[in-house]
Amino acid sequence: MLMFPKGLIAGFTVLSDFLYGAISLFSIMMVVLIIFMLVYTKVKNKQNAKNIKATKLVDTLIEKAIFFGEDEENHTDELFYKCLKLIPDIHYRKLFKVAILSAKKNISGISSEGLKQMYLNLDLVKYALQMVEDRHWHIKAEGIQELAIMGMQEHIDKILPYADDDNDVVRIEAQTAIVQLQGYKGLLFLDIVTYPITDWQQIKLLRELTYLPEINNFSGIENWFGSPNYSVVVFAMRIARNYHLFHLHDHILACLYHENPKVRIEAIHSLREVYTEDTADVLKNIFAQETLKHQIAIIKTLQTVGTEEDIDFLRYHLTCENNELKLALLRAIASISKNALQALELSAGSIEYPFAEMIEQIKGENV
Amino acid sequence: MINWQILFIDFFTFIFLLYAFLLLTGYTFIGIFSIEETRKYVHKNGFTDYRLLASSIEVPTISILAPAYNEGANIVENVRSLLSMHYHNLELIVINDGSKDDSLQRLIAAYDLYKVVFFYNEQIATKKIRGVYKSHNKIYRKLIIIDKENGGKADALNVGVNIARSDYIVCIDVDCVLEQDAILKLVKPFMEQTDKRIIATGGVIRIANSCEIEGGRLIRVRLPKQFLPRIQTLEYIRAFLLGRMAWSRLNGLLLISGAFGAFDKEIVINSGGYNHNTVGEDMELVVRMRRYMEERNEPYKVSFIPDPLCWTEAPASFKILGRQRNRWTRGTIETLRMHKVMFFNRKYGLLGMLSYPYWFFFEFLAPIVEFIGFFSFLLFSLIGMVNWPFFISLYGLVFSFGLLYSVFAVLMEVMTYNQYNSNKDILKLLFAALLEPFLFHPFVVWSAIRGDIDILRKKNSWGEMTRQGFNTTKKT
Repeated sequence: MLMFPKGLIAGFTVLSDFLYGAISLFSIMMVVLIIFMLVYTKVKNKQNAKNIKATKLVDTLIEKAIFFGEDEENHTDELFYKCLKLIPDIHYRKLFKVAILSAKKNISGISSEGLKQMYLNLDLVKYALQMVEDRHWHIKAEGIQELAIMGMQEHIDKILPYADDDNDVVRIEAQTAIVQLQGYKGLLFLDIVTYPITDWQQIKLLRELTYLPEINNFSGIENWFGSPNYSVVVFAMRIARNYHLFHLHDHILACLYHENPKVRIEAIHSLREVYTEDTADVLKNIFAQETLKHQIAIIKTLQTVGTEEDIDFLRYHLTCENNELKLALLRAIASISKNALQALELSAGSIEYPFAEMIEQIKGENV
Repeated sequence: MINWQILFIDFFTFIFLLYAFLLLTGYTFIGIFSIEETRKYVHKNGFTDYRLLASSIEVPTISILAPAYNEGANIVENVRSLLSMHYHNLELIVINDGSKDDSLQRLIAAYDLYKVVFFYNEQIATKKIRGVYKSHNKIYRKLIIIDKENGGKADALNVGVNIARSDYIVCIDVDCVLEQDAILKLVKPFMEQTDKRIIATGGVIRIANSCEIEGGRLIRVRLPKQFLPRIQTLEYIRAFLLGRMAWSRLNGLLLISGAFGAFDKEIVINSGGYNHNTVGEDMELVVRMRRYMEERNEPYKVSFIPDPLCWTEAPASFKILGRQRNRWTRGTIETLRMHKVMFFNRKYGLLGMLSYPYWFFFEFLAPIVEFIGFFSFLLFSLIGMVNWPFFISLYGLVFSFGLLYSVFAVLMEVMTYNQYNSNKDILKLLFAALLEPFLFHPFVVWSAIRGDIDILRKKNSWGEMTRQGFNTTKKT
């Protein structure tokens, strides 16, 4: 016998006992899960019905704060006390917070100040600070986000230590919050940040910068170009590009020789916005040693920054193998000089595949 | 009974028990891993402001590729729905794969299209292109319509890949209904990549039968009224919320549904694009992309999003369902066969040592083992060799575990996205789980066996997928 030393029947009997035990366990687990699920849904649906009332309450309070303002002594009204009474309940607190934060995100100016005061009067900041101290990363991150949205500058010291936190969500929320609360000055965390700043985070930070009043002083940005963290260099270039910081042109040019390809391609893209009369020559110089993807990016940049002097270079490379590069070269030629494209069209080579189709397509694009 | 017979039956029993034990262990681990991955995702994205991506000009450009074959009845509406997606840098490429109906004419009329001269950069070999169309109307500047000779879905998608101008492509079924923020959510993982390159992202597919659809948009989620779609709802919850999430945690995903997935175009092209020699082109592409990255020792990840992003119509008749499952089986076998070099090959890491063997043993072999098991049981019971108490306990175990797994999947749904949020719906889903082993699963196994037979007979047709159409509401 392979399995059971005491014989097949005995073996099956022993195993059957074990199987019946397992069936009982699975059945109990199943019943417990079903009961939990049904009770959970029932409670949740009941809670949702209650939420409608509570939402009306907080919406009225928000409207009042927005239209009539809120001051520190404005504690006498019944509506406010109704809300205040519900705040210790985590469920209602969450509901109120969502409504207030959502309103705050869409409103600025004096109305926004009214909301902030209402938030303080309801003592919601106390709970947000508790969340920041929480050991769970998602609660901590949510607390940080809340303080930032509500403009709690006075609690910035609670957020600063998390700017280079191990947890990516906490780190991202902390960095965004610091910029929200301190403006451009808040970007100083870039001096010390060790983790890469993802594209997602860079978009968030760039958006925060657009909300700030005009930035006149981009101090410290030069240092970021020398950062050992490649993503900081990329971010510095994005700021330079978005704000047309022409004084950083040479720093961007230097990035064309960076060892990290992500930095190099960002530099090529950035030079479309921040360029001088020398830019095209530098791009042409690095063209040969770059990868195909970067070569295409270089040609696209030359389409913007190039002049008639660059036509020969572009024409010379039309003999390349790659069709995508060929198309980019023709687009650049067409963009710089219509005459050059016409001359190309008339030349013998233009009737060869694929030039005729490419030229026709480009002519169509420019209509 | 003579000794060799006892030995044979013992061996047979042992193999089946071992298989069942491994399968149940696998499902247990899938359940455990999925909890952590889903929890992490929900916590991480619970307070994410996706509006930021929708309005940002810094986001990468995305090319949506929508192949269409004989979709004339709904194509205009479907394209309109896709054009209204929340995303700034978007290009929508609809590929008319040689439709025999009036799809193209309808599109030309509805979107004021004209034929443009277009250089077709054939990076992946495809069937011939008949024309490229763009709209005179600037509102539709994001729209490109390609008319081509019929070559199948894989060929149509390859045309889209060749034409797409973006670094990332999103492949969808044109008749699917997408959530408005589906693209935003699908693209986010690409923007969060640091040390590992994200080569593909998949989203959850949900069943749209009985749901309210208006103007190509999902208005109200409803549990399907019909039996088959309802059971498939449960099946999809199990597959996506448990299975895919668990594999995503391990970075071992082999499949991103062809109905909705995003890909890094450069890796798609470098690995040769969609393969039109298989009916499982969606799985085959993901496996090949992974293999490409593994062979180059480049760190990568295939990401998965548990949000319900894409709603599709499930087969409501056994005939259509059978065709679908037959095709899925053939697709799996073809893919596994094409990449058999990875089977328990350490060079491919987790892909070769875990993902591939799992698919081989528990996706490809499972229906075969069940089928053999069923007929062996019939045979042994006829010749009086069944130990009935043992059989009942074993069947009870498998049945109760299967039911527990389904209950757990429904619980995960209730605790996360809670699309079917009344106790009545939950009980209906649980009742479907109770009936599934008797009324649905045997048919699915039989369809898979027919797929295995078709593979042996070298049959490689797609199988027509007739759809009933959504429960649409006219705009007032």
